[in-house]
Amino acid sequence: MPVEFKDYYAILGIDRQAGDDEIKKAFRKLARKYHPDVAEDKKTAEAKFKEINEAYEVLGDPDKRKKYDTLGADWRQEDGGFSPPPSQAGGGGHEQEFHFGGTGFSDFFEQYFSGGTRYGFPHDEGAGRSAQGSARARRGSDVEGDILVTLTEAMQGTVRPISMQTVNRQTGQVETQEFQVRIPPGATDGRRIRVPGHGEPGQGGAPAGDLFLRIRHAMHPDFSSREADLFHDLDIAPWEAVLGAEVIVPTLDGSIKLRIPAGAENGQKLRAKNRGLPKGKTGERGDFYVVLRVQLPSHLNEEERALWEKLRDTSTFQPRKAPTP
Amino acid sequence: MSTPASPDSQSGSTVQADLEITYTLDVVARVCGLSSETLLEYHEQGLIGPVTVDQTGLCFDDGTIHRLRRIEHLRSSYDMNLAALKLTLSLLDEVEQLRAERRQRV
Repeated sequence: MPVEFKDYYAILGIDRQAGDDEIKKAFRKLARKYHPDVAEDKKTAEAKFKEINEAYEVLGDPDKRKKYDTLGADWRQEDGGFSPPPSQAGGGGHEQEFHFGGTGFSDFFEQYFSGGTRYGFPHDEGAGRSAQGSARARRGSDVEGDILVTLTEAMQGTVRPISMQTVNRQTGQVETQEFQVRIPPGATDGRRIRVPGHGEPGQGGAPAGDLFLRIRHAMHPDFSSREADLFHDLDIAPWEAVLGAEVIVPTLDGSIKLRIPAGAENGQKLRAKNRGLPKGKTGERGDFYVVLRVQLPSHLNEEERALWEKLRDTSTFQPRKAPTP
Repeated sequence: MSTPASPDSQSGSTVQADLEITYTLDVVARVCGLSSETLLEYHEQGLIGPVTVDQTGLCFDDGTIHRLRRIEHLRSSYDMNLAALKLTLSLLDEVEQLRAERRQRV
C-alpha cells in the first residue's frame, strides 16, 4: 500500500534544525489557530489541526523524530511521487499486513509511527503459512492501534468510522472491515477500548481476534489532561500574584471566574472542582487545575521603569540570603 | 435489487464502546481461553490487578484482557517463564508511563 510522504517540518513551518522549544512553540501557535473549537472554518481547520497534531506527535518525540529524519533522508523520489526506502518497507514490525483508517492519523503515520501492532501468532510462522495454515483452526490475531481524540471529543463522546484492511492469511487477499465505534464521554488518554471480533479473521472456523483501540488525546493549545483532570497554564502579572486578582479562565465547557489569592506563587495550582473530563455515567467529573505562570514585562516605558525603581528602593523583600563574606 | 452488494463492507454497523464494562474472573478466563487457576496465579504474582472487588469477587476490565493477551503472546512466542514475564511487563508498563508523561509535558 503506497503512502504519501508527509513533510512534518513544512507542516509546522520550521526548519530541520529546529530545537525542541521551537517545535513546541510552532505547534502551539498553529494548534491555537486551527483548533476545531476556535477556528471559524471548522471543516478545513479540523483537517489542518489533525495534520499539525500528527506532525507534533512525531517531531515532538525525540525517538520518532530521529526515525522520521532517517526515513526522510532515504525516501526516494520517483516519477514525481515518493516511495519508501527499501530498507524501511516491511521493516517496521507490523509490516503492511494491516492498515487503519479513521484513527485521525494519516496513512503515512499509521505505517511508520503508530502504536499499531498485532500479535497472537508466534513470529516464526511468517513463511509457508498458506501451505499448512488451512488445516488448523486458529483464532485471529488481535490488532492494536491508536486513535486520536480531541479533548472536546473526550468530553462529549464521539463516533468514529474505522476502516481496517487485513490480509487474509489463507487466500492472501486484502479484506476490508468498515464499522463505527461510538466512544462514550470520558475516554482518558492511554485507555484501551476492546472491540470484540474486529481483529484479524480466524482460520478454519475459529473466531476472529479483537481490536484494541488506545485513546490518544490530541494536543490542545490551552489544556492538557491527566486521567480525568484537566490543566491550564495561566499567565499572570507579578502584581496579580502578589496582590491577588480575579480573572476569567476558559475551560472546555465555558469560562469560569477564578480568584487568585494574594501572595500566590509561580507554578501554584488552583483547583476548580468537577470541571474536568467526565468519569463514567455517574455525572462525576475530574477537576480543572489552573497553573499560575508569573510573566515578567519585557518592555518598560519611562513611567513603569520609575515605578519599578521606586519599588526596588522601598521594598524590604530579600529573595536570597546575603552572601557570607 | 439494483444496488450492488459489496461483500466485505459492513459499514453502518456501530460498535458501542463501554468504558465502564467489567468482567468477572470466569468471563475473563473464557474470553482469553485460560483457566481460572492461571488467572488467580497471575493475580497472586501481581501480573494482573482487578479494577474492583465486589461481592461477586474480582472484577477486571478491557485493559486486563489486553494484558492477558500480551502475556499469552510473550509466553507462546518467547517461552517466557513467570520471572521473565514479570520483568518484561514491568518494563513495558514503565515505558508506557514515561512516554505518556513526556507527551503531557507540552
